Amino acid sequence: MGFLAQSTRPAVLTIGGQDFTSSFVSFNVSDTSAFKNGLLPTSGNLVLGQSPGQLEISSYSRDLFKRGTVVTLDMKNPDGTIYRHPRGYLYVISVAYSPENEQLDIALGCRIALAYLTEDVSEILPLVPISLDVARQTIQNCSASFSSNSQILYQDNQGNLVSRYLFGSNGLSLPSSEWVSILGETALSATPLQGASALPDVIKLSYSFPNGDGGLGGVDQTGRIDENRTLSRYFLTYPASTWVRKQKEICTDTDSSGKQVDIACVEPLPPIPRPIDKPSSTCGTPPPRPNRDGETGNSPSDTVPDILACNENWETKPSPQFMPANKLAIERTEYKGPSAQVSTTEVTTFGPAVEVNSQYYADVYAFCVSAYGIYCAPNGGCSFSGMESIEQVRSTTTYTYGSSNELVSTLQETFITELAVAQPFDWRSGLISGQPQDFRYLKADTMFRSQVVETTYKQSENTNLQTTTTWTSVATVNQTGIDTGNIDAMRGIKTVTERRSSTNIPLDLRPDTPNSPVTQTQEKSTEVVLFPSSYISPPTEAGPYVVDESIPVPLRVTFDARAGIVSRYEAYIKRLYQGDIRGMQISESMRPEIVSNWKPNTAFYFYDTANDALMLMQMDASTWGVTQDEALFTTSAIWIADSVGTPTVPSNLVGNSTPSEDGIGRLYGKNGAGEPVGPGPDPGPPECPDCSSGESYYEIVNVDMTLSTSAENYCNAYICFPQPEDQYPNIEFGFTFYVVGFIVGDGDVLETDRYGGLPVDYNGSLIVENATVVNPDLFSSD
Amino acid sequence: MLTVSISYTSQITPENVYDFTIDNFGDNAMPRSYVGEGDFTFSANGTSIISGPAYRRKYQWVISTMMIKADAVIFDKMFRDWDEDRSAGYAAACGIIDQTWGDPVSTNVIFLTPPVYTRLSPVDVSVNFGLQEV
Amino acid sequence: MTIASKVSATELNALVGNRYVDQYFEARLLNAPGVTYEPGVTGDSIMLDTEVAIGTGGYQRQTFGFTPSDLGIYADGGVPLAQKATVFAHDGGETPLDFTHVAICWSSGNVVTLGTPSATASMALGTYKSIPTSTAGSGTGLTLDLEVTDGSPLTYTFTIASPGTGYSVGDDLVIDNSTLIMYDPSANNGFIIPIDSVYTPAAGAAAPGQLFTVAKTASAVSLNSGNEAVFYWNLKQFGFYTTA
Repeated sequence: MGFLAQSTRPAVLTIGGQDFTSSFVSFNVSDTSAFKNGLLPTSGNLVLGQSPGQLEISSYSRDLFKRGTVVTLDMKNPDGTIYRHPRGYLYVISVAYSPENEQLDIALGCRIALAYLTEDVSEILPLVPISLDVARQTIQNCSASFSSNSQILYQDNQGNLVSRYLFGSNGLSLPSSEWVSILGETALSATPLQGASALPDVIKLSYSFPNGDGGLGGVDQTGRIDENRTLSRYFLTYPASTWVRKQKEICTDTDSSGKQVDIACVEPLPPIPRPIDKPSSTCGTPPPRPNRDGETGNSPSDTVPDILACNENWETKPSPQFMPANKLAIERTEYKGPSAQVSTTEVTTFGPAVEVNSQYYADVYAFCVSAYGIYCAPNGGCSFSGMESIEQVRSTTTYTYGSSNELVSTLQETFITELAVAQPFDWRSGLISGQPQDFRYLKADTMFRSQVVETTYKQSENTNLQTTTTWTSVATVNQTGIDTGNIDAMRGIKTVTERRSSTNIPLDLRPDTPNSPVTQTQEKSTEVVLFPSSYISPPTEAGPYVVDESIPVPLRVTFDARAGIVSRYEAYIKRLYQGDIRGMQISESMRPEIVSNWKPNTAFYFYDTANDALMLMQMDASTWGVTQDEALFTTSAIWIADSVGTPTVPSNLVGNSTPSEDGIGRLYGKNGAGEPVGPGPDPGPPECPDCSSGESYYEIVNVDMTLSTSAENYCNAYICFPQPEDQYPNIEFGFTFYVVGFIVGDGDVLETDRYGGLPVDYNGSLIVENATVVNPDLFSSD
Repeated sequence: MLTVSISYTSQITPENVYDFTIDNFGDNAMPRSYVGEGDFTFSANGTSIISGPAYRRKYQWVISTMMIKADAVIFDKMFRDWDEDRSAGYAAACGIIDQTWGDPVSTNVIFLTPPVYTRLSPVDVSVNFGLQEV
Repeated sequence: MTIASKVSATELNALVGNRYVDQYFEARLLNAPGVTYEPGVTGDSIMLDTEVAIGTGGYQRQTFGFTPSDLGIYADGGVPLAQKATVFAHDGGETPLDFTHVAICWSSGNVVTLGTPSATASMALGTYKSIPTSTAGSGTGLTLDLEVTDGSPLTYTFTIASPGTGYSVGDDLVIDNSTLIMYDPSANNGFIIPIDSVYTPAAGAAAPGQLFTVAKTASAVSLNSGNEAVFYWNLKQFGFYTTA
């Protein structure tokens, strides 16, 4: 008996379909651990050596094999049959030629490794078990989606992406062993996976799931339109000079000695209308007092009796006029760009016309007052024009994107009213360009393009170039007024600014996209007990040692599915933690039962013969090495469960015939006479048919008791009308006597019942015979 | 008589069965010995601590013998058949029965050191090789 | 991992029976506009300090107790107690009875048994319901039912209609002749009835006046014109189960 770990395995190597076996030096690839990883990329390297007369491998330009070229590695069984190495279908990622030792180092990776490189998740996204928000569709989140559902995705040795639960067939059950590793027999080495790290007692597992039906972010928001309206209500001071009539106050008096003294101000009684002095200035001054009888012009005359003035002891005083105003700002954003980026924004402001040119409205008012104002009615009944709401400013920005969704240019156009740039000579009377002109009323709602700003973004020669071209209307810049021909911005002043930057700091922020908001989620947590009683207290600091974990992606699934995912993830994280702590790093030769039908999470029994310890393990993060001499693998096996049973270790030796003890240099043919006893038939690999595994379960049971009290009131608004008093009716009883009978004569025919039947009482006949005839006049008074 | 008998049945068609019994050795040293050395230390309080592999020490044989040339040729063919099987991936091992001293030892061995042949005379060849218990 | 658990009907039955049966509670009206009672946050005593002053608009605390027959049958994961009603009636005066919350507190001094009347009026045969009583002690709210049965002499049997609150053993309950006349104009005297025993929460169970529950009305209530506010109380103990 005996077991020989035979690691010699001849290999066949092809790259891009060409046989490179004769140049093969070594092949080393590793799988990623499934510890909280959903995607398990495999990557490593292949070394080719130059051999005389073989294919050329030197490649200084590093392009001998293009990225994505398929590399296959097949192995030969002793009987000559060929099988694919478990990791024998990979792709070239890069090549590097070492001229000193004439070797070509080829970095290899599976499709998932390539996806990590290019961040192209188009092939993986349809496979993720928990859907991802649009903004979360990255390779890392794809991995998180698989791990959240306790699943793994790997590429098999035929190039297919395969997903499966990490533990068991459903993520919860115990996996079944597919091969047996025996320390001292088949295992080349076995070392603990971790040092003496502290054992967590409890894992606090939190998870999140969407509020309500999922909210924003679940769908592509391209085409969305946002609108923001801001309405302000406020008071503004009307720009014109307005006036009020006010009664004068007398604050001095003359005492008996004729001396003037201050007194408390009083209003004189009765008011005798009398004009006051005419103001002397012309601008911003009250209008002249009204003319009196016989008076011409505006000069007051002392000859006119005071009594004829409109208001004696009244004066005209300036009074600011406060007017209510509304302002509405509408900001409208359209997300019609690629990836729902902003395509246009438009900001429009509506407000009182007086705000765009207060001087104009002050003059309109003053002009009116000068025409209609009189001393006693200083405002002349003029209206406060310009308080109507007009479109004051409109600014639109258009975004243009390139083929890579990058921002190429923005164009901002600003429109304002002509009134806003009108100058006093546009409306005031006088000589304008030699032409006499009356007061000219302007339209408040005529708009023109006052400014255009075009910004372009480019990259040239490793520098970022931002060019800003601005056109501004001459009416804005030079205050030329509105009658100077075309005042459109494109006919105005042009300014170009160029900004060049070689830093990698983006010149401008990327425009908003509504795709970035992700699903609003709420969070819950649960506890997973790992190793109860793994500490003593005091000291109180000894425990419990709680590790916080969370399911990495929001669970955008139904309520029922969520419960399944959470319970699976509890088992997943528990097995990973426990399994990692009790894990072993085991090296084995590439025995047929291991490599045939291999999966990254293949389970196996590990048996320590010396300590008679049998445990169920699961392969994780294997490293595969193939050289000219040997083919081995090392797996970081995670512990699953302690098991019972005794594996059988059959001898795998061949050719070990028993010597006859008397032969000297004898060579026999097959089945020759007197030959040594042959080794017998192949007994097969080590097995453990009677081995079984169990699991320990630790559960936290919440016993929740709820006390419910409620107060009910059946009346309207808690107020009940008083109930009527109890009624006690008097019930009186009396007796009466009555008889029931037919008053018939012998031979009379009786009536049938309502259905035509014969009533039983009639004894089967409707004809009365031998009736006891009661006196028909029984109740007569006679 | 002190003998070491070795047999091998090749796996590659046609199967050949080899059978040798060696009864002469190049010196007085016993051909059978053990692999490795004991590892022994003392603990802090003087307790003796022995460590080593968790299995019984395996045997190894270093054999130097003289064969007639015809036998040596067959021996060499046995080695080549064994090595070919090994290189094909078989867990190829030879059967051995050692009756040099003590109780007979019957086990399986592989060639740890390929045979080295030295011509002694036109008919005699010295054959030196090492075997390792599996 | 956390898994669900359900509590047995027997356990819940015992829980409710031991805690609430044979205990007395009183309903109080609180006037705390804008206040939301948050257990553990809002101080219970602060909450109870907002009680409407007794006598305002005829306000009196209303008491009720649970008897063994009130213990319900396990259903829907819980054991209920029979519904109890508390009636707050406005006295018809000018002062309204304003409140925003209604609360239940553990009661004490609720009359459980009565002694033999020491003065006896003569009344016609019949049953007289909810006769108000007065006392020189501190108790309020006790009303009695009186059944006068035939015999020689007539038998006067008092039963407690409402146990009142705040009474002490030894206090005498007085029913004036003026009160009885409203029930039977021929009544010629009053009654004086001693109190034999009153309810006090068992030591360790609850303190007298301890807050049990607070319900906030949907809006502030103002009772006037003799109207009433009636609250029906439902109490149920659930052995709930959750998984998180």
